[in-house]
Amino acid sequence: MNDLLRLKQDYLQITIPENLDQTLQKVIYGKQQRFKKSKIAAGISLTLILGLNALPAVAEGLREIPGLRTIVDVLTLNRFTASSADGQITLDISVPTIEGAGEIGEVLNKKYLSLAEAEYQRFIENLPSAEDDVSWHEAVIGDYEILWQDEKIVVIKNWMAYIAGSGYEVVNYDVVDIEKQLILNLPALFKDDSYIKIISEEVLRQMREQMQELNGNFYWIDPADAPFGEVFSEIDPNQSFYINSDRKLVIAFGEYEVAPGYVGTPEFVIDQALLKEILVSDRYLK
Amino acid sequence: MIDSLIADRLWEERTKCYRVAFSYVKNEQDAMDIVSESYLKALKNIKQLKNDEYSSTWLIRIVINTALDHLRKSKKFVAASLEEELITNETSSHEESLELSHALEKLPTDYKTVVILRFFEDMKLTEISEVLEIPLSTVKHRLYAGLEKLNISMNLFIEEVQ
Repeated sequence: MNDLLRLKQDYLQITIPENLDQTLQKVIYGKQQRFKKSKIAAGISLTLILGLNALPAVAEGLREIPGLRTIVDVLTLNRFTASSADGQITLDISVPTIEGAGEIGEVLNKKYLSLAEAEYQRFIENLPSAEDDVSWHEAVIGDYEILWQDEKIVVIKNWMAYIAGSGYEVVNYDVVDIEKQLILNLPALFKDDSYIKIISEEVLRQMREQMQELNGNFYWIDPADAPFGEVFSEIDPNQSFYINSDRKLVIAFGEYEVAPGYVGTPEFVIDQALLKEILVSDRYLK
Repeated sequence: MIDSLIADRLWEERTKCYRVAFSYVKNEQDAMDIVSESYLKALKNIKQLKNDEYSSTWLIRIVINTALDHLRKSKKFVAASLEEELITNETSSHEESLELSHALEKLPTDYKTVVILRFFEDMKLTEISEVLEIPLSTVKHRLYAGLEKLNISMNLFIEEVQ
């Protein structure tokens, strides 16, 4: 090992020629200034449609349950769209609007709208200027889905997809107790913080199991394989989660959070038996 | 024009790229040529870069491929040796180290690359697999076999490579 370290020292002491910086500065930045700001220039038209698409969102889960009275409606009242003049770079975000869910619905509506607005702002600020080469394709798509709902609970999934060649997706779940006017978070479901260890162990077990399978997913649980040696060992106390229509807890991870990009946004269903002892009540998980 | 963020990311990698290039050709002029050429290729094909986060991986891959092309063309595999470097370098003129550097130079290029990236550039095995576009299992195999040929005790690494 010492030999290898010595050899590494030699390697790191390879003399860097003085003209490396100069040469590469020219190659990378050309004669132009190092930092050139993109501007929205004339020639790129932007359209913003607000409140135009008042189409009721189709709550698929709801339709499957005959005779269920709809208490809460989720509609697409706001939709943001924008595009570059040539149509190569586009943005299309459908913003969910919850109606009939009282205060808590309004809180979520504000959140959804401000997230979409921020995304829209960022998008138009980063549009390339007219003199730039805009021959690449890029799309930002925001949408949502009602995973399921009943008289008391609504579970809303909304996501933002960034597509430029390959895609990148950010998913957010809201589990709403309409009756009690609560947006659930993970710690609130449990008596104490022992859930962190119990859930983490189960997630790790499922990860290892999947890695054993032929063509199974790969997870960053070994320091040698994880970028920067950062391995998944424990869930965040406020880990993203939702409750599925079987009333089971599902732990969700973002892209690149615990696995390479191709794995996407991994989710793990946690068996109820593991959580029974530490649940505050059986109101949500059954 | 390319995104200034990507430009800056590529800029940050310049010394790393130079060292990697130098480790193949062992002389300044060729290493400089390889690095310049690699950056030109990278900028020209920047649209192939799907995800900014992979800019480093992608650039190193271009450098390695350019260096290998260079070696193939010139057919003078390892002209000047690392030996010279070691002798002029007072801090490291140890005999064992010399022997090891000889052994490293004798390794087939595929194996040498993996050893350099893992131990000198401190890259993770998964990153190396992405850089070289080979399966992780192949990376592990080359690392094992490479270390074996270098007579480096494997026990130190077994935990990591498993």
